[in-house]
Amino acid sequence: MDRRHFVRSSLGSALALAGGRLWAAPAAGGTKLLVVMLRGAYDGASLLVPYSSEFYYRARPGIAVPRPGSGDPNASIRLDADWALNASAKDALYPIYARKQLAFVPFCGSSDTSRSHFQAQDLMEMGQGEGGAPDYSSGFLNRLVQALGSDPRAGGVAFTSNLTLAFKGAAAVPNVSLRGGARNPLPQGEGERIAAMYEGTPLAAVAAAGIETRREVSQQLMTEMAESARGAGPARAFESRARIVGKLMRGKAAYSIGFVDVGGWDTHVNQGSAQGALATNLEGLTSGLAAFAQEMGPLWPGTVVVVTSEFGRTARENGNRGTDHGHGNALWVLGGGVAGGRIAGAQVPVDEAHLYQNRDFPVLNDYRSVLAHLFARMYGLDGARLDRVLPGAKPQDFALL
Amino acid sequence: MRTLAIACGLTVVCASALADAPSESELRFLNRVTYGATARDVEDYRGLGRDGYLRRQLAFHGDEGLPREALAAIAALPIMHVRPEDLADRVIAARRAARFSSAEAKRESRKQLQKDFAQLDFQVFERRTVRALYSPYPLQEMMTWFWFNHFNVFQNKKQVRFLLADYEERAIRPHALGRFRDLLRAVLTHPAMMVYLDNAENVRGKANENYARELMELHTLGVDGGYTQADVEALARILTGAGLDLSGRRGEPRNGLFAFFPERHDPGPKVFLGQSFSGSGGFAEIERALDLLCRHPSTARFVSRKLAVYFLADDPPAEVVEQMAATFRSSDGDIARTLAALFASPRFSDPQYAGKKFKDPVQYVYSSIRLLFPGDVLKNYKPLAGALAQLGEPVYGHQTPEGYGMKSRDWASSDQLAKRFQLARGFAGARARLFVTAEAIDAGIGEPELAQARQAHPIGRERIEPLVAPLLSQKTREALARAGDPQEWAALVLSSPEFMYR
Repeated sequence: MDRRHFVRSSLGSALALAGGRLWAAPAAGGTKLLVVMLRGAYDGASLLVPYSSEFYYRARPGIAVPRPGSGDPNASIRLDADWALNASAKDALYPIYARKQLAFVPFCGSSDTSRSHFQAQDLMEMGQGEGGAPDYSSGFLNRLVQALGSDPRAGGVAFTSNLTLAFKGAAAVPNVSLRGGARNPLPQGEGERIAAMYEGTPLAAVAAAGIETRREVSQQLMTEMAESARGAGPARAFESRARIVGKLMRGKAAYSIGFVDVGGWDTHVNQGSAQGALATNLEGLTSGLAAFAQEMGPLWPGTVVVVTSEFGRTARENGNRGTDHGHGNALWVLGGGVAGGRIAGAQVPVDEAHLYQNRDFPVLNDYRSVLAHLFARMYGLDGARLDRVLPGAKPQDFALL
Repeated sequence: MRTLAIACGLTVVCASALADAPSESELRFLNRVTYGATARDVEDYRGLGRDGYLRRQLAFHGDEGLPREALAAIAALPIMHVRPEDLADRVIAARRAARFSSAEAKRESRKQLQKDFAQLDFQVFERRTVRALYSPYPLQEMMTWFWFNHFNVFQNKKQVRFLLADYEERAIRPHALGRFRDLLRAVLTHPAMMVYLDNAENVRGKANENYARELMELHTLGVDGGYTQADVEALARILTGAGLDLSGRRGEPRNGLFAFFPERHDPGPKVFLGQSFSGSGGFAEIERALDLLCRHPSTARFVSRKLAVYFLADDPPAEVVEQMAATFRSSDGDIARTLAALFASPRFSDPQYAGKKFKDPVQYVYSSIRLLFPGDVLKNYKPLAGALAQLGEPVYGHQTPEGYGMKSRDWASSDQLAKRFQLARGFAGARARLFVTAEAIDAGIGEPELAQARQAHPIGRERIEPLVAPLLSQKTREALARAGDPQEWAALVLSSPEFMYR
C-alpha cells in the first residue's frame, strides 16, 4: 500500500466537518466512555509494529518485534500490509480487532515537545490546545461533563486514588479509588455530622460526594477486591481493576464517563520485544481491556474506550535495549460500535526521512482531533460546545464511529 | 523560668497541658513548620521566641532530643546495623549458593530474601516516622521528606530496595538543611539514584539520557529552565561512567556501591549549557556540570518555588519566590537560609496564607497521631503505613521520579476525604492496635490486652482541645458539641475541614 496516497486522501477528508452525522449507538443503556491513560509513554512501535519498514528493523536490532509469518514463535500478528500486532496481545486484543471493534491511530499525540512525562501528561489531560498559559484547574473530561449539562450521559467518575487532572474543573466529579479502604463505611449519623461541618466550605461538595460514593460502592468493591486479590500476579493487576471498572460503569447509570490510568511504561532499559517487561505489561493491559469489554456486556455496543499515552518513544533503540522519550505514538479506540479492524488517520512511511527531529515518530494526528471526532459522534455536540471541551481542536473525520 | 521551659521543651516530653492556651497565630505558624503543633512545640516556641525557635529548627540535629523509647525503637531496627554492601554480598552469596541447589531450595531462598527486603523498606518507614512524630526538631524531618520526594526513588526498581535506608540516611537527611550542591552531589554519588534513573547503564557509546533529563527537569532547572534536547544529550554523555559496582572493589571515586568507571566515560568533547567540555575530565566533568546546574538562576528559582509551594501556598506570590531565589544565589545554595527568607517574609505571617495548604496524606496521618498521642511512642507502625497506602501516598512507593504532588489539586478529592473520615475513626477507636506490637497482633492478641492498651492511651480531650479550638469554625464546633464520646469527638476533629489544612 502506498502510504503517501493515504496521507493525501485523509488530508482531504480532514476538511470535512466532524459534527453532522451522529453515531447510531444502541439506545439501551446509553453511551459510555472510558479513557485509559498509559502513564510513562508506552512504546507504541512495540505494540503496533510497522513491519513493512526496513528502517524499523535496522533501528531496533535488539528489540524489534519479529515480522508476521516469519516462523518465529514470537512473530507478530498481521493487521494489514504495513502493521502487525505484538504477540503478547494475541489472546486479549487481537480478537477484538478481528471483530472490527478496535482501531489504531498511529502517529498520534499532542503538540507538546518537552519530552517531559509530567508536563506532557498534564497538557494531555488538560486538553486545552496551544496558546495561552495552561489552566491547571480544567481538564477536558470535566469540560465534557459540563458541555453535556443535564444529559443523562454526563456523569463522570475517575477510577484513580486522587481526582485526575482530566476531571478537574467546575463540575463536581467523584473519584473511586480501586485500592482498598472500602471497609468500615461511615455510619449514617456520622456521615451527616461530618457533612454538616463542611457546609459552606470550598470542600462541601467534595466531602458530600465522598461520603455518598463510599456508601454506594463499598459493598461491591469489597467483594471484588477480595476476589481479585486471590492469586493475582503483578502483570494481571490491571485486569482485576478493569473488571471492577466495568462492573461499576455497567451497574451505575451515573458512571458514564470514566478515567483510569496504568503506569510502568517508561522502558529505558531492556524493554524486550514479544517477551519481556513491556510485553508483560501489554498483556496485563490488554487482558484488562478484554475483561472490561466482557463486564460491560450488553452495554459494550454503546461503549467507547480510548487508550492514550503522553507521547511516544524514540524510533531507534538506545544503548540499553530500551527506548527514550519521543513524540508521536499509537492511540487506540475500541468499543462494540467502533468502526474498527483498521488503522485510521494520516500516515507516512516509517523511515529516516519522516522522523521528527531525526529521532521520533512524528505527530500527524492530533489526539484532540480524534477526541473531538468521537465526542461529536457520540454526543452530537455542535461546534460551539465542542470548542468549549477541546478549544481550537481541528475537526477531522477519522470515521471511527 | 525561661531556661527551665527550654530545658523541659527540648529534653523531656511534656505531656501536661499548657499554662496558657496557644493562640491562633501560634498554631498557624507551628502547624506549618512542624507535622502538626504539639504542646511541646508551643512551649519551645514560647521559650525561645520566634527567631530563636527558627534558628534551632533550621539547623540539623540528627537524633538529638528524641525520647528514650523512640531512640530504642530506632536502634532496634536492623537497618541501623547493616550496610548496602553487606546486603549486596548476601544477594550475591545467595545466587552463588543457588547454583548448586534444587529448584525448590532456590525458590525458598528467593522467598526468604524477598521477605527480608520487604521488611527492610518498612524499617526505613518506621525510622522516618519515629523521627517525624517525636523529634523536637520536626522541620528537619519535614525537609528530609521534602528532599526525598524531590529526589524520589522507587523501592521496587531493581536494587533500590536495599539501598533505600542508606540513601535516606546518608544522601538526603544530613543535607536536608545544608547546601543544595552537597545534597545534589550526595544524591548523584548514591547508588540508589544511579540504579533508579538508569545511569548505571549510561556508558560511552551507549548513552542513556534518563537521569540527565530528570536531573535538569526535576532536580535543578525545572522544565522551563532553559535547556534543550542537545543539553540533555550532552549531560548524558558527561554522566557516562557513573554507576554501580556490587563487587565493591572497582572505580574511583567510590561511595559505598557507587563507583565512577573512567573507562566507561565518554571522552569526546561536549557543549553543555553553552560551556565547552574538553572531554578528558572524567569525574571532574560531572563536578563541573553540577556547579553549572547549582549556580544557574533557574535552579535558584525552581527550588525556591517548590519550597514555597510546600510551606506557603499552591501558587506562592512571585515576590516571595524571588526573595528566596536571591538568598539561594547569594548564599551559594544554602537551604536553611533560603527557608529563613521564606519564614521571614511578611506573607508567611499574612492570614491570607495561613491554614490554606491542604495536607498531603503524610502530613495528615502524622499530624493526626501527633495530636492524639503526642508523647506515647507507638509500638506498631503498620497501621500508619497502611493508611498512607490507602490515601495514595505509599512510602517509597512513587514509581516515577517527579515524586508526590504538594498541591491541593493533587489530594483534595472525594475519595481522599472519605478515606480520611474512615481512618480518623480508626485512629481514635482502634488506637489499641498502635500500642501493641505487630507480632502480637499476628499471633492473635486477645481483647483483654487490647482493652488494656486502649485504657493506657486514652483520648485526652482537655489536652487536645486547646491545640485545635482556635482554628475551628462555628459549624465544626456545633458538630463536635453533639459528639457522643471522646472517641467520636476525636474522630470528628480529625475529619473536620480545618484539620485538612495547615
